Formats: sequence, C-alpha cells, structure tokens
Amino acid sequence: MKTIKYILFYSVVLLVVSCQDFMTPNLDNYKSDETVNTSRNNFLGVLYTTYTLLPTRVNFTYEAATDNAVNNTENSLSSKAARGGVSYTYNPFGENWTTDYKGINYVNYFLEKMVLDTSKAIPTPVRFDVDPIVNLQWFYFTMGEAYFMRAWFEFDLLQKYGGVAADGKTYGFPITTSYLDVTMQLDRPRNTYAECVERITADCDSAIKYLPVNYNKSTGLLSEGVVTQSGHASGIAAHALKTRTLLYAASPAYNPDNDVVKWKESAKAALDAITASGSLLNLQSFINYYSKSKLNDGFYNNPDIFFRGPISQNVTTYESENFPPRASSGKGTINPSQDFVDAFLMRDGYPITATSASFPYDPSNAFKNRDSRLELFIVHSGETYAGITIDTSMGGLDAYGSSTNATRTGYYLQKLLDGSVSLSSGSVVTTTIAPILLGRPELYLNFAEAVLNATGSPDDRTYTYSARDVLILIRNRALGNATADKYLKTVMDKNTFLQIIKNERRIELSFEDHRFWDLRRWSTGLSDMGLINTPVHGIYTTNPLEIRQYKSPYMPLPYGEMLKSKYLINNVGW
Amino acid sequence: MKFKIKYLFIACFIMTSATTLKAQIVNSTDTVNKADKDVNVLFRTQKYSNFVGNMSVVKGDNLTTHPAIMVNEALAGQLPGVFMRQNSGAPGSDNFTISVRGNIGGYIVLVDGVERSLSQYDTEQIEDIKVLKDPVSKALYGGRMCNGIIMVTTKRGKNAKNELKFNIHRGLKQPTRLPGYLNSYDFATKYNEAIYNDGITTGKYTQAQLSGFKNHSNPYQYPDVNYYDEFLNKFMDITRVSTEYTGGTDKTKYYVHGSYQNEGGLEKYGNKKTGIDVFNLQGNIDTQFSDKVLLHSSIGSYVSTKIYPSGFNFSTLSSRYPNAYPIFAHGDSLGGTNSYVDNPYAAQAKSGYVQENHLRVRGDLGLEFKLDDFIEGLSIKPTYSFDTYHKQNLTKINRPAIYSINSFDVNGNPVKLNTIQTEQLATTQSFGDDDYINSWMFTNTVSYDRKFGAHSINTDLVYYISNASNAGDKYDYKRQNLGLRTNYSFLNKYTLEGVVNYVGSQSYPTNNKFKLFPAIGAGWLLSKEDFIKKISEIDYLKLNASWGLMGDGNIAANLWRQTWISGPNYYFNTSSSSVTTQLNNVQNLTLNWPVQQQIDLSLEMNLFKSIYAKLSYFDYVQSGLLSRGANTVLGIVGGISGLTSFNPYVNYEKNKMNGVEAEFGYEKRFKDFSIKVGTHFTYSQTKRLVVDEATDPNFSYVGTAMNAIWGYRFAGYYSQTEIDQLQAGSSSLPQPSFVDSKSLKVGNLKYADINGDGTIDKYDMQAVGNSSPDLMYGGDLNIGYKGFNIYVMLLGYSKYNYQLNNSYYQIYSTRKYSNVLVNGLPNGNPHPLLTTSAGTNDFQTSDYWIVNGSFLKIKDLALSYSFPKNITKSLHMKDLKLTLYGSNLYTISRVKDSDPESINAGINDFPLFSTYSMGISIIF
Repeated sequence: MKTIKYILFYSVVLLVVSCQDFMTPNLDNYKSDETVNTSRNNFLGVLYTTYTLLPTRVNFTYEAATDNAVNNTENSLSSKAARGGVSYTYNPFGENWTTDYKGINYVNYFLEKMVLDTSKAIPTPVRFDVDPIVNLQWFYFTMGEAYFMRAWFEFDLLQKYGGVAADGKTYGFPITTSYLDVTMQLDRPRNTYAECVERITADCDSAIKYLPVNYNKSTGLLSEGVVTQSGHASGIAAHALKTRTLLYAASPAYNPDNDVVKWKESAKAALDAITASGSLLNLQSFINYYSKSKLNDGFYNNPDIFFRGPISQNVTTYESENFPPRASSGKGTINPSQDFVDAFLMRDGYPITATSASFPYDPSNAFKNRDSRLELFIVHSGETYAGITIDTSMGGLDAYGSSTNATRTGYYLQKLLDGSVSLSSGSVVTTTIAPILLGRPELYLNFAEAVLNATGSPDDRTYTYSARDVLILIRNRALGNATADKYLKTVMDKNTFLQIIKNERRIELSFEDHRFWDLRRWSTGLSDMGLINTPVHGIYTTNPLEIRQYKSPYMPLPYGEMLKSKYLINNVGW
Repeated sequence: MKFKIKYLFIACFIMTSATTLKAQIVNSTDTVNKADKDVNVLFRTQKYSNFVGNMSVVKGDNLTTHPAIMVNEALAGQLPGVFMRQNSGAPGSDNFTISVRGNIGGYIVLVDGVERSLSQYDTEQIEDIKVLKDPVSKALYGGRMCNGIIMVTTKRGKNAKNELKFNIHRGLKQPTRLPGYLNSYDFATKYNEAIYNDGITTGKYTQAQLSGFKNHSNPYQYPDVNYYDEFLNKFMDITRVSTEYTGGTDKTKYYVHGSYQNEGGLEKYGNKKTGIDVFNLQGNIDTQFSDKVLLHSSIGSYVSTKIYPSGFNFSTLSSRYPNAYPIFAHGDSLGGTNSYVDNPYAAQAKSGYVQENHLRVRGDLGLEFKLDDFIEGLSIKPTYSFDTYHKQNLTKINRPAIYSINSFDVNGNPVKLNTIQTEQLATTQSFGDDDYINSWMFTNTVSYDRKFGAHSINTDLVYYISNASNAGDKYDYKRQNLGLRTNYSFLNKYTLEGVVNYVGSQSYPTNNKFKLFPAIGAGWLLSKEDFIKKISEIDYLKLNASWGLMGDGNIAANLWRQTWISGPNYYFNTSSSSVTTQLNNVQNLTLNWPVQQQIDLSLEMNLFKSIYAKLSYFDYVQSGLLSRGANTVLGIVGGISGLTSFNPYVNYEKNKMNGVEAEFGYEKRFKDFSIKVGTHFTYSQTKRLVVDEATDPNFSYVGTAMNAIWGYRFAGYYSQTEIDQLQAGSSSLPQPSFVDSKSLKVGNLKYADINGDGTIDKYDMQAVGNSSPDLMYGGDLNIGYKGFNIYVMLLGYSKYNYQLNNSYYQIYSTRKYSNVLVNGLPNGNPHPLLTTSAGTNDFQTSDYWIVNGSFLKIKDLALSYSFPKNITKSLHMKDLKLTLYGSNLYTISRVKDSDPESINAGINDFPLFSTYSMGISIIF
C-alpha cells in the first residue's frame, strides 16, 4: 500500500511541471512575414494592394464646389463645405492623408525587398517565373510599377495638401522612401514643394525606365507591353503623371516667383510624353473615348486612356446618383450650372460673349448652334434623355420644386453617364464604368498651357509643337471638323490664348475631379480668390445660387495629424 | 439500506436543520460558531476566521422560490456587489448585463471549480452562490483579470437518510411595460403636421381619410391596427417540475436530480409560439474507498429545445404604421403593400418556424488522497472535468401569399387584389447554425494543513490546465496555471495569506508567455482580542485587508504577431485578377499582459446578537490595456483602415475604479415569530487615467468617467429671427458643425457653445450622464410566523441615465409615431419639431434626450406556508410547503412608458416580464 502511495505521490508531483508546448496557439490562416516574402503571389500581392487604393469612380463633390456645378440638396453638409465651410479642424476634401501614406508604405516595403542578389541561383527575391529571362523581366516590370504607384500617391498628397505656409515658403508633404514602422521617428517636417516635385519626377523616371510604353501587343515579351497586362501602370502613364506634376509645380499658386524655368521643365516633360505616345495623334471621338466597351480591358482599343482605375461591371453608380428624378427615382445630385453652360462655344468656335455673324448667340434658344460637347455633357430642357422628355422650365415636370431631388440649376448631368441605363425595378439595365485617371486630352491641355507659358507665344515651336497646334486638335474634336473653328486663328496674344486654354480645360476635364484643383493652382495666393469663390447661377433666377467663401487657395492639413505632430506646419489661411 | 425508522426520523431531522444552518454563515447573526464555520474558497475549504478576503453569499434556498428557467434571473439582486440588469425577456435568452462592483472589469463564473455557463443549471441544483471580490481569494485565477469570481456550488449528497423531494411550480408571466403608439387618426393628424413642417405639399391625409380612420367604418380602406394588442397575448406561462433524490452514509453519498421546465407563448396566433423546453439531469456520487482515498464524481446534462416562428419580429410591431395595410385584405387573404410584406399574422401563423436544439453534457471526476502516513497534513486532490455543448437549428420556412388592395367600391370594400408575394411552401427542412464548445480541465491540488500549537498553516500548490475549443474560433482557449497559496494564522486571531501565481497564456510573445502575479492579505479577528471581548455588545469584529495583481491572459492569440492576410482580388482587367496581400497586424515583441492592481479593505461585525454590518472599500487600477494608437500614432505610417493596420497593439490605456460597499442586517428569532431584514448598497466610480486620444490642448478624456455620456447642452429653441441671422452669417449665435444652417427651422434645438469658438462641435460636448449605474442598492425582509413566511426583496439602481435615442423616443423619417408625441419625453421635454426628414440637428446626443434612469423594483415577493409537522407526518411526508410567488412586481422610475431595466425591451425584442406563480414543495 505504501509503495502505491509513493508512486501516486511522485506521479502527481511530476504532473505539476508545466508544459510549454501546450501554450502555443493553434495554426491559423494568417500569413507570416516569411510566407509573404518568399511566395510569388503573396509577394506581388503587397504591391497590388496599392492598386486597390486607386479611385474606383469620379468624386463629383469636388465639382459641386466649383463654378461648374452645385449639389441639388441645398442643406446638405457637402453643400455647406462646397460654399466654403472648410476649417482647419474640418476638411471633407482632405481625407486622403493616411490612405496615401498607406499606399506609400506598402510600396516602400515592397521596394526594400526588391533587390537582385546575384550570388543566389534565383537572383530575384521570389521566383516570378520559371524561365530566368522572363523572371528578370518580371522583376524590372514590377519594380517600374512600384515606382509609378509611389509617384501616384505622392502626387495625390502634393495636390491635396501642398501650399504656401505662413513663412512664405512653398511646402509639400513629408517624404518617405523607406518602410516606416512605429518604432522609427515618424514626426517629420514637410519637405519643400520643390523637393517633393523632384521626388515624384525621379519616381516617374524610374517607372519610365522599367515599364513598356503601353500594352498594345497581342503577344510577345512582358517588357514589350502585352495586352493581358492592361490595367497595370505603363510608361505613358508615368510620362503623363510627370507632366501633370511639373505643371502644378509651375502654376502660380505653387510658383510665387513665377519662375519660367519651371514652365520650361513642364513643357519638356509634356513633349516627351507626346513623343512617347506616338507623336501628335488626333483624339478619339467622344463616343469612343468615353465608351464603356473601350476601356483597354484586355485589349488595346482606346489609345487615349493612359491609366484607369479598376473596371466596375454591372453597376448604375453614376446614373442612380444623377439621373433626373422622373427617370425611375434618379437622385439628380450634381447639377451643372448656367455658368458652365455659358462656357461652351458656338459652332464656329466663338464664345457666346463675342459671337460671329454666322452663328449669333440667342439667349432664348441658347442650345442652338453650340459646340457638340454641350449636348453630350449636360441635359437641358427639351432634350429626351433616359427615356423621358426633360422639362426644367419654371413649373416643369423636372424643374426645381417638382421633387426633393430636382435640379436647382435647370440642368442635369450627362457626361460620364450612360443614357441606356434603366433604373426601374424589374427591368434594370446596368453599365460598366472605370475612372480615367490619366488621358490624352489632359496631356494635350497640359502641353498647351506649359508651352504657352514657357515661350510666351501661342505659335512658338521650340518644343516641336506649338500651343496652337495642340489646342486645335482639341477644338476640332469639339466643333466637328478641321475647318469649323473660325475663332482660334484670330487670337494672337498670350493672355487671351491662355484664357482659351483654361476654358477648354474647364469643358474637357469637367466632372473629372480637375476643376477644383485647377482653380486653386491658377490663383496667385490669398488675395486672388476671385475664381475660386465665383458665385454660381442657375436658370431660375439671376441671383447667385451659391456664394463660395473659401479662405485660402490651399487646403489645410488633417487636423488629427496637426495635433499629433510638432513639426508639421499648416498652409497659410488656416 | 436498512435502518430503524424511528432513529432515522430523529437523526435526519437534526441533520437537515444542521445542514441548512451550516450553509448560512456569512451574514448570520449566529456568531457563536461563525469564526469556526467552514467556507468554500477556490480549491479548498477554509475556516471563516482565517479568511482574509471579501465575499458575499446567497443560499440556494433563496433562489429556489424564484421560478426562473435561468439561474441568472433568480440571482439578480441577491449578491451584494453584483450588478445585473436584464436586457430581454425572451424565453431561454441569457441576455443580462452583469458586472461586479461597477462598470469596468469583468467577471468569471465557476461552477464546482470549473468555468461553465450558469444557464445550464436550474435553481434547485444550487447549494449556494458566492462572489469573491478581493484580490487574495481570486489570486489563484490570477491570469483571468476580473472584478469578481462568481463561485457556484451545486448540491451533493449528504450523510443523512434518503430524501425525495418534489417541486412543482405553475405560473404566468406578464410584460412589465409595453410601448404605446398612436392610432391611425392621431397618427395621420400628426403626420400632416410633420409634412407641413417640412414644407412638403404632397402626401397629406385628406379629411375623408381622417374621418375614415376616426370612425373605423371602412377597416379595409382605412385600417387602424393596434399591433401590440392584436398580436400578443396578455400572459405567457411557465411550468417547473423538479425532483431530487439524495442520501448517504458516511462512506457513500449520492444525489440525483431531474427537472423539466417550460416557458413561453406570447404570440397570439399560430401553433409555434416562442417557447422553450428544458430538461435537466444530474447525478453525483461521493465515495470513500478507504480512510485515505475519497472519490467524487458527477455527470449532468442539459437538453433544451427552443421554438419560435420564423418570420415574427418585435420590430415589426414597433415600426409598422397603424394604417399601413389591413391584416386581412379580403376574407383570409393576408394584406400587405409593395414595401411591407411583414404581416405579423403571417409571420406568427404561416411562415414556418425555427427550432433550436441545445445539448450540454458535463462530467467531473475527482480523487482525494490523504497522505498523512507519508507527511502529516498532506493531501493530494486531482480532478478532471469535461464539458461539451452542441447546438443545431432545424428550420422550416414558408412564404405565405400577400395581397395588396388595388381598388375599393363605394362602401370601402376591396374590389381588386394584387398579389405582392406568392405562396411558397418549404418542402424540405434544413439543419444548420451549428455551434459547439468542447472543453476539459485538469486540476491537481497538493495541500498541507498542520497546526503547531497556536500556529496553523494551510498551504496549497495548485496546478491546472484547461482547453476549450469553440466552433467559429480559430484558436482553442488554453490555460495553464501554477499557484502557491499559504495561509498562516496565529491563534486564529491574526491571519496572513500570500499567493503567488505563475500563469501561462498563448497570447503573448515568448518572453512574456508566463507571468507571475502575487497577492497578499491580512486579517485581524478583533473580537477575539481581550479589549473587544470586554464589550459584550460586539459578538464578532473582523478587519480584512488585501492587495494583489491580476493579469489578462484572455486576449486573442495573434495580437503580438506580424500577420498578413489576403485582401480582395484586384482586377486589372475583367479577365485577369491578382491576389492582394494586406498587412493585418504589425508585430509587437514586447506586448505584455494588461494588469489590474486591486486593493480591498473590509470591516465586518456582528452586534447585539442580532445586528450584522459589513463595510468595504475597494480600489482597482487597470493598466496596460491594449490599444492601437489610432489617435496617437502619426498617419505617415499608414494608419488603420479596412483590413490593414500599420499600428501594432501596444499596452497603453489605464483606468481606475473605486468605491464602497455596505451591508446591514438585523435578525431576531422569537418563539413563533422571526424577522430578518437586510440591506446592501454598492457605489463605485470610474476614471480614465491614460487614454488613446489626440493631444488636443482644448479637450481631453483624461480624468473623466468611463461610463460618461458625451453630449451637447440644450440651450433653447431657435426662433425665426435667430435662424435668419444665422443663415445670413450675421449672427452671434454659434454655427452647428453637423448640419447646414439653411436646413434649420423654428422649433429646432439650439445647443450651447461651451468654449465660445462660434461653432458647435465636439469641444462643446460635456459629460451629460452615466451610461451605466454607479450605485446599486437593495434590501430584503423576511418575516416568519409559525408556518407562514413572507419574503420581499427590493433592488434599485441609481446614478445613471438613459439616452432616449431609440425608435420609440426619437421620431423622424419613417419611424412609427409613439405616445411620446402626446405625453412628451420622460424627462419633461416635449418631443422636438416633428419632421419626415432625417432631422439631424435635433437628434444629436445632448442632454435634451437624457433622462434619469434610476429605478427601484420590487424584485421578489414570496408568501409561503409550511404545513405543521403533525399534518406532514400523517401524510408520510417530511415537509410540505406552499408558496405564492411574484417577481418584478412594481417599478418606481422616472421613465414610465418603458421598463427602465432595458429601454429597448418590447421594441426590438421581447419585453421584460413580471412573474406570478404558485408552487408546492414536498419532501419525503
């Protein structure tokens, strides 16, 4: 009995010893660092995550804060922000800071791992392909993509937050080129605008070095640009982004000394872009450019799209938001303004304020003999659209007051919308959209503006093409043919020509998230808020519908970040 | 088992009275033996004089008179320090908000030493329930940071004659308060007001419609449905039958228990009303093999079936307008409209049902070896327990046909119906919603108990290891614990207890996997001191103090590791998608256990042989609580959004809770008459010490209460001149940041600009109330006269506020119009301007919508009569008792139209109930 007791006692005591192995959690399906760094798809996935941060659609609220449009709900908070209700604590137009840095940090993580180690059998960090030559192609191709994506997020930060600070210097954002984690010094001051521009152009140049110009080959090597890779960043996209960046850098708001060198740099970059894209080609027709079946979706069918966001199929996003209320409860959210409609040209290229004898402007029949873009971009009274005949005249079925969602201005949006969409439940017809993020019309307009400011004359061909050469292509597309434009040839002086460029830009790039930032970069500073704060009008009254009261052409930095940081300084006016 | 009956009678009579007294030690006025009584604490039994902690006890008998299926329901208010509020009265729903001593920190429930759900037991099985509140008595669970351990001991066999017990209860449950809504006429009139306020000209109810609603002449064309009256019964019934067979000798003790309970049926129509059937079975055997070896074993099971109609929902009753559609469009064709096919009659009677089947099986096996031959005073107790829980649903869904009425004839009768939903009968049943939990636990306690003259030492070395796996949880929940507890007492007057606990958790990096948590306590039995003994009024006086640390090993297992996950695929073009990889969590190799430092002081006394009092003070500080620094880490690192977080978890936040508890009691026994009165109250307050917030010079949460409700201060209603000025921008009034001033109308709420910066934004928010009670108080009264006994228990909560922000109080958009529009809000404010829009301005969190939520309830009332012994003897019974019982009988509160214990009860879910029942208890 005693021995049994001893055995029992000792065995029980032994059980008291704790088991370390027991305290390991079960395997789960999270990936570790090692998995990500050594598995091909997971490793590429780190870069491809940044693509998910690209805009999936146009954000019309920017347009509703310019002289081009208003939001149909007078009392919404976005309407209040549009009228200038932005403060240093509240900026609904500036919620991208953390998202952009998220993209940049992912790219930096990726790039730090992207080094060739020639001592190993497979020199690339992961094996992209079995064939060693293709493997290296993948390596360089992906590296080029990474540089482009970083440049994209950096430019977004620059556009949204760049500006002049109280000390008179122009700042951009804090630059990071290595993977950051919380143990590092995160609090850094903003780099100067010039440093940021330099960073972005350097990244674009790296991207240009490694990426094919575009994806127009049906078969061939990866580095030659095969159509199956459409949707990835391409060389021409990097060119276009670089042009845009240099244009902003040269613009009056960010170039207070009016340094002509910056305009020259921008012109040079624009020229390189045009050359890379195949010289000065004609633009696609509007139908083709905005066609939902020409989105470079595995085919190269739209040479004017340089870079687009992801394609969304079977959606009615823009239509359900902006169709007139009678078209199966469309919400009619964005209403183009009378000022926007007045910007459109007459059929012969004359503006409505200085019309020719052949096509005089008739206010009672305002839509007759206008440039073709008018009918394509906006919906006016008398048109048949989305299955209904629109009547926005006072007291009309679609006019202001007919429904809570009716237009405040008398116009509904048509650009980017697909008129064949039907919202009626039971017979819904959907469409496909993809936001065009970098395209040829913008490139031509950038070139025209840059060359005009760099050379001082619309006909100077220092940069192979003159501003007029390029602008003509845009206007010809709008007016129908090469001989319709009777007005442009009469303009010789730089300032009027610049106004024409700006007007074309206003119409061509309307409702594509450009106008808001263009108005700001054309301002020379705090005292030049006229364009930004232009009152907006509609058809129902001569009084302004909205008066904008922005305090500064620059936007404030995110309030949360200002609170956490000791080094960030805000833009002037906030 | 052959014994002489006469001796048995006497013996068991003495035994039963002795055993009933034995369990009731803590607040008893029987001080003669109080210090020597044994109490159960974690893993052992201790003399009460050597207990240096703070516990409260409730006997099982106090719970059995409450005919509840859930033990939790019977427990509310019985344990001082345990705050319990019921959220929903649905049959079989275990929906309580429970906290111990206050509003931060958690609690654990241990049943017979194992972490188990309390809901699988019925009240007859409970011997007693204790709550351990001080750090020293909880220290052996030091890796499970909590404010209190609720220790439940179930009944086991006794060394007594066999006893057979029957209990039968039948009763009714009635909703305490149901929300009231306007009828069609009142609703339509008010609706016209609302659209007039909004400036909308279409949709107004015409005079013809209004008179139709008023005189109910055309119920098809002008329906007026009172949803609550029409679709709910007034009562729900409850049945409980239980039986128990127990007995034993000094060698073997056994206990068998079985019960059946049933509750439910508030829906008026259909034969599958919400209800639950519960079967409980338990068997225990304690055997002494030799004088050195003892065996404990038990096995129990719980089977329940809950049925409810598949389409029926309380939210339909609380959101459908009275004139939306007639319940029957014509004959027995069910009515509806294009937007609403949720006809409650269809939902209750014609939509099928869901049956939830729950099964639990639990078992314990323990041995006790007395090793006095080896080392005197040494014993070893290994035990093993397992629990399994399994649930499966059986669903049968039918879709009934719903019609809307297209046209009416001149008399208002329907002429043409339109089919909105076609009938679809389910031809198959489906099983699903499976859930399971399997767990086991092994404990080994090595104890050494010796007395050396006036010194006594009780030491335990406790080791336990447990594992629980849960359906739907990636990680098994594992624990390992090694604890050493030593209790040293001198003369049973001065006691010192120290515990050192070494715990392991799977949730921390290697260097922090195992942690040591100490606790120490001291007790001084002053009533044994000579200078106190001289004071004859003082029968018992004890001072206890303890301090300890507890850590939280219970967090998710992957918070310290660097993990990536696959995000959604990105489609470069529609035919080519690629995997995306997102950083899910950044590693933190120094992640450590959040720790709670606890201090407890208590003074317990018994005076005048009849008065009992206990005063306690507690202070808990939690530090190192996990946070991701969303407000403190700069966005340049990438921030937290969607699936990605570039911020690791760090130990950061700190908060504190302290408070006082007091209990008083008076008990006196006369010849035929006895009276016992008790009262208790607990008050605690919380404070945030370190908060994950942006360093804003104008605003900080540091120093504020954790349960504070932050809202604006109401400053009057807007007048037309004020609005005009505000819109013109010329006003001195502040601009609200949450709404465009162009949308304001006369009668909208104005808020105060506390910091004077011209805008109403988060800097103008103040702490306008408490979201959970800071004060709990209650009392009970027990009066006995001969065989009669009356028992009343009151429970109240105070120092807290409700936000009147559910669909009953805040009416806008398409919400149903409630009586609030006629009676006003419970805090005296009228409902603001009626609108059919989203009404953002008026419905911000502000003190306009805050009401004092405190309430006092008559929680339990029991009248019982025990038949005298001569009658019971002649019936061959040992005891026969009849009880009339009521619970939740009356509520005193500011809030009158809903039950203050759960302000959403009856609106989104079942209301809370008052129970009226009658029971018979027989012991053979």
